[in-house]
Amino acid sequence: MLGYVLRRLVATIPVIIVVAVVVFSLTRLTPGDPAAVIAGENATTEQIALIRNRLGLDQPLLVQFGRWSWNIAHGDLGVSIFTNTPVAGLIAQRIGPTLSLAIVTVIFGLSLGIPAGVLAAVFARRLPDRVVMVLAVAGFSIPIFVLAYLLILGFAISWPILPVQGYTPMAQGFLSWLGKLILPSLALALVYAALIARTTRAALLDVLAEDYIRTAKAKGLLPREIVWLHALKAASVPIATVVGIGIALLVGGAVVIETVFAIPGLGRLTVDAIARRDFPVIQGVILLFSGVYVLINLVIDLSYTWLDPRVRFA
Amino acid sequence: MTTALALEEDTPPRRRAAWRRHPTVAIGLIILAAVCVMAIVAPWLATLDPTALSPAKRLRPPSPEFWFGTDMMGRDVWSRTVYGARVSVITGLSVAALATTIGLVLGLLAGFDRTVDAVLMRIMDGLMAIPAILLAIALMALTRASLGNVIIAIVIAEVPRVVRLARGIVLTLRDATFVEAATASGTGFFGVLFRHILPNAVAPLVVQSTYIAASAMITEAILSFIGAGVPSSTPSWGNMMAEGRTVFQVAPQLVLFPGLCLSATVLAINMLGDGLRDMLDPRLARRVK
Repeated sequence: MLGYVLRRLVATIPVIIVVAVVVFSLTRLTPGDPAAVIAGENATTEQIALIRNRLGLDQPLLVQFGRWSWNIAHGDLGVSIFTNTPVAGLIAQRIGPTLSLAIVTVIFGLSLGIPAGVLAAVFARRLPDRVVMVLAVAGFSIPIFVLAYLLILGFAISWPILPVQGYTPMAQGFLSWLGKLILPSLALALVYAALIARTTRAALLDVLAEDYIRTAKAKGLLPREIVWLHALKAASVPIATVVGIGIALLVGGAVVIETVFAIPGLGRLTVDAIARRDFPVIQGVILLFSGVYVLINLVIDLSYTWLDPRVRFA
Repeated sequence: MTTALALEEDTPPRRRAAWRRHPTVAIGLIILAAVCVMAIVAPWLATLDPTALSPAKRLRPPSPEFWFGTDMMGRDVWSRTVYGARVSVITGLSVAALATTIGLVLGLLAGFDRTVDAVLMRIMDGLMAIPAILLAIALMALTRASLGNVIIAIVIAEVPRVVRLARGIVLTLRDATFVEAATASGTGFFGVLFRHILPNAVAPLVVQSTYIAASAMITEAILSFIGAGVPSSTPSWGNMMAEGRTVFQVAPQLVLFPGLCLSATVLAINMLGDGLRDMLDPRLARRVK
């Protein structure tokens, strides 16, 4: 087991290095003068020179990368070109709403996706299965922002029962925090739930065809005990994998959802940074999201040792 | 001759049976073909110039004169929606073709050469750790807004998934008994590649390319929606939704019409992809259906 954990940890290192190189290269290897692009079309020569100097673009590439990596390793993500404040500070100010959105979305996604997948597998090739699979394909196909506007139209305009804009911190009341997160999280969770439901169904169908499930049935175990206590645990490795992969969907979706629902989180920060061509901020957010994605998938990889004893003893 | 006749007689009913077994392929193809035709004949389908401003007729509801109403600048939403199909169709098809071709070449290289594999797959793993939309956003933030740049940005974000798939297929097929037999009987490297590996890789890559096309259309719309996609002067479904969101409460049709067109197109491609997967891989279809 220790060998597996060490192998997974070591395998993460090259991924992190490549992410760092790609994010660093984004400004440096773009055609043309990145300082001129960031400064915008109406910038003066002095403004372009200032940006070049501030981003260290006038130094040799290797020196730039060395200095940049050193700073990143020490938590220094650079300084925003627009606000002239540290990027790490800007991220810290905006991380709360995004984290809240992500947590509620994952809870909604798992609570909808796993039962729907179980239902489809238990009633395979029958009506509940067909309904779940049609909804899952629709969940995949309706873009998050279209879904968001449909939910707004339904639950905030036609039938105004939920708030539609902004964010209230949890410190100002749990219910108002949750109330403002329901619609954005639901819009984001439906695509996530569709992904989880399809994987749960496929994984569970594989497990339900195993010999030990037949033995459990022969021993007289109740169908719900077989599914929820035995089969679902054995099917949990692919489900856990897709939960981790789906984090990338959530990150992309958060950028859009925070724009639609005016949530002052990291997604909104990214969209504002694009409009202002504030590249240090864009780089900082990408690094953070990629780091979180790698970390979550590492944790999920390590959880296999608990979910599947075969991994532990391999 | 008899065999040929028998085959000719046999083919149409078989084909009809295949469509009946996989109706999602037929439905997906019909919707997709309709959207492609809409994109091609947009100048004839549009009732007005999609960029013509008419402030006096702003925010008109749907009517016989303006089928989908007008936007904040009095432009005809139906005409803009029809022209918007062009951006989505071009993006979906171009990204699917480019990402699949590039991914296949890189996947073949990785599958056949261990050194290339070690380096290339680490790079692909790193690229895959960056959420595709964020990578595309970052690339677009540094380039001029144009459809070409949007396509390049999405291709870069999509290629790693194809490389991983193509590499997996090559690694599986390389050790398959029929490939070993072909090699043992004197078939050269390119013979094995073109006669045995590539024909077997086509089916999963075609299925994957449909999902890439769907994902590319959504990414393009998201990029345009957040102001990092095609120029705002070009009618695209993402741009139209971005412009319509400020007046959503009074004119929801400005967001809903392009949004529903995008959803229907992506749904059609996903249905086509799912149907093709079941059609081309009957073992998987039997297992999961």
